[in-house]
Amino acid sequence: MSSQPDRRRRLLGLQTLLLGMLCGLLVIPASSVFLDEFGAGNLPWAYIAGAVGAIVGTPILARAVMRWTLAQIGVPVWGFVAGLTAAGWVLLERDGGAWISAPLYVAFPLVILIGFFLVGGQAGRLFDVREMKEHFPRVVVGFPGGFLVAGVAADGLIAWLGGVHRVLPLGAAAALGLAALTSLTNRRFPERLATIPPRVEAVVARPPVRQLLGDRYVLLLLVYQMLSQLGTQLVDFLVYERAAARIDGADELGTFVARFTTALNVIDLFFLLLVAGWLLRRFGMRLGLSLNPGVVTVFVAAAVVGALVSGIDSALVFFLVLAARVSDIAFNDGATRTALNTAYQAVPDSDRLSVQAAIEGLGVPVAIGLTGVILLVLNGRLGVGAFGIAVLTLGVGVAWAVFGVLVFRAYRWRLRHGLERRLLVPTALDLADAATRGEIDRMLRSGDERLVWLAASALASHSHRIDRLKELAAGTGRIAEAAFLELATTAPSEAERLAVPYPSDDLSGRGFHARAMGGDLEALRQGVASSEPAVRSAALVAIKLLGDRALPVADDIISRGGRQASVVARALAPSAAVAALLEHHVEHADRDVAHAARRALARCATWTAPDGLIDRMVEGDARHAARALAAHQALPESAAVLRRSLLDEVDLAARMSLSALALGPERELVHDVERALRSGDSRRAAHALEALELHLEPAIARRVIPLVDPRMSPADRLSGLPAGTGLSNRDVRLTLADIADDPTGVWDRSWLAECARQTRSLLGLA
Amino acid sequence: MTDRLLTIQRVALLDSVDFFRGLSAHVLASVAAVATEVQHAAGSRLMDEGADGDCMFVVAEGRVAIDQGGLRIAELGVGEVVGELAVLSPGPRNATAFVIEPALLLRLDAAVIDELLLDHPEVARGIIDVLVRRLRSGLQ
Repeated sequence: MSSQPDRRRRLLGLQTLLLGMLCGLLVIPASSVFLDEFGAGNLPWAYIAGAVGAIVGTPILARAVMRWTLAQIGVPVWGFVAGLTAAGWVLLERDGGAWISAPLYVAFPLVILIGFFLVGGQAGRLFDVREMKEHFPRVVVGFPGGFLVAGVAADGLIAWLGGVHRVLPLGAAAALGLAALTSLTNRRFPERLATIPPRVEAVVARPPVRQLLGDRYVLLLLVYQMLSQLGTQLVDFLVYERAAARIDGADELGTFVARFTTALNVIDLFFLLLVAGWLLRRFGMRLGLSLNPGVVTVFVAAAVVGALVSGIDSALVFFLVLAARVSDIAFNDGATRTALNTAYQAVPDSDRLSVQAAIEGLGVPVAIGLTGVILLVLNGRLGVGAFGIAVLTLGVGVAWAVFGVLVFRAYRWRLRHGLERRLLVPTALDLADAATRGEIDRMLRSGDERLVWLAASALASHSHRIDRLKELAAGTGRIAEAAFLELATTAPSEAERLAVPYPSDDLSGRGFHARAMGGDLEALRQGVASSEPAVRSAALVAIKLLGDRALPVADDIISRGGRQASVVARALAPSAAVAALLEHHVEHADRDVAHAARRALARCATWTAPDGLIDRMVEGDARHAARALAAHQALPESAAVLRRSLLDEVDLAARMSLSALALGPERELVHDVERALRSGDSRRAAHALEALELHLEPAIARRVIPLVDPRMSPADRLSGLPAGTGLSNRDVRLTLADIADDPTGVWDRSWLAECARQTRSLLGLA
Repeated sequence: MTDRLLTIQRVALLDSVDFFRGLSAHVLASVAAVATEVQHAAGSRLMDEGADGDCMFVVAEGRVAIDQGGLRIAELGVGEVVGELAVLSPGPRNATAFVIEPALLLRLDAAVIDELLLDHPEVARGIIDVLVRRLRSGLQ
């Protein structure tokens, strides 16, 4: 049975396959007839016409996505494209119908634009930010695949059918297929696709352009997309301009376009299938946004140098222009499309589709139109020629690469700060206010224990009210007890002064505090180990109150390990001496203690981790998790209790990794990530993991992400961890012996050992 | 509308609600700061059965009646909560609430409760206690 992401990917992949076929079967006849009939000099007019059409249509599209589902938009759009393509075929069968090649050629970039808007929009609703990075490259594979099919089919069919235009009915059929698939996808996932995002009214009220300009991130995306399109169009123009200069006749040009399209898409397909996914997983968004402009710029720069050396008409320059086009297509499909669709995920759900529609529906056509105008002015009016266009393309490529870096930085910042949304902020009571002071006094006099505690707590949070608290603590009864404990938390030295005059042999309550704070560390040690919860609590309060004076006892208890050690580590009040003590225990053999020590150390704000400590902790956690996962995979399902216990070890290792990271410069981010992971919201969790990955050193991220990603199965986690961190043997008997006997002491968990012994008996391996 | 309750009074009110048992005064103060006061005259309707709900109320003054399927199932007074089920588990309201004595209520949005549950898991204990008590009283 296929999983949900697989089904989503398959349906979207089929859509891009048909989109590629449609585009191929549209552009091959349209460009060939257009170039033959009107010449390359008129290509800029086609660009401008396309831009005008898209600019007129964009506001309609931006508003449409707020009112209708993507299927309600997609089905009529593809129906219209099918009709236009079929009409083109009918007209080209007649004499004098070549003019239709112009609107068909104009429609080509618009079909790609609308197609990827519709597919990307569906993907944005169906995938979270991490699924997008993982699955979208495979969705895009369909596009060059379809283009390839179209190129091969057209190459074989042109001569057989008796004209390049006779492949157009196949394009119309592909458009109808797209309409059907869009509708089917909507029916398969109605909960995600058959609804319109909430809060759209607020967006409708604001024109998309103003909205774009008001948000720096969206503005950066718009400029990046425009530069991307400008670069693509200029390279595309150079290819057709050079081809038209070297090849005569519509059918010959058609054959060249079909063969070039085939070669281009074979390379694109190989890149997408073999390299793109790995590159994005390995290097992420940074590469996704920079690869395409970087490589295109290098090829165009080489073409400019080639033109200077051997002339613009040389075969070398033609080859380098073709190479730039091939790399642009491959990297655009393999990296840029996925990176941009992922980048849209940093825009709130309610705005995402309208922003996407505005950027792609407005930015792309404006860039196409701008290309047309630039070409008309430079190539037509000023007679700059192909060399000048190549130099211009080089400049555009450099700017595009720079904006790739800027978009990446903005994306990282946006993800990070998108996690920080907080409703509850620390709020202090205003005790300067007479009404509040009167209310607190009323509560203190009320005799209601609950209100007294609350009032004492309110007083304790204000240092200038400590005197009032001291008065109350010096009394007797529950009110004094409440005041004393609040005082102990906020002003330990004052509490100590009050407690010392009351020595007592009684190991409970205030008497215990008195002895412990009087320097009786043995009493403290006994108190921590007491079977009485009240005494244990009192001992922990005393440890907190005594501060650095309790450290010898605390160090001794923590070093021994066990539950008391964890509790004591958590009870220590932050100080430089406490930090120095805890630092020695963050890699404690008892992992629960190590975890508690890390948590407590994170509260010591002035402490900074020594070089290499965090890396070492994360490495140790990953190694232990991989060991537990390998053992889990080796055991049969009948060893259910042991398998579950091993997964508990993995869970602890994941939490320990995060607590280790919280000791570094990203402690606030880690805290936000932990909250997002606890929320149970898979999209929010994915967003948090993406932010974490972008802010961590890649080597650390590769160890932490497979541990904390809630979507991963144990097998996925094990394969996601760096090689060499797991057990090499997968033999059941050896695995059980390793856990039960623990010869190297790596497991150090009596419960696991007992489970392993029980499992050995259960499986008859004792 | 000017708030009638001091923050300390809101904190005391929230502290009396079982849901928030165990939360420290400063956490309750942050909850009190984002709560909004609403006043209703006797006879006004607070929520409708079947309607979508994204908030709950704590009764600060007055009384509120809870009707389900046309039958009165409870009357709630000071320190009791109204509409908490739709906040804990998103879905339509399962009862209608009427104000039967002029009421002052603190409104808390679902997002606030979600954040509390994330940052202060001890809140869950209070909620479980309340729900278990109701379940038991329903079974008896």
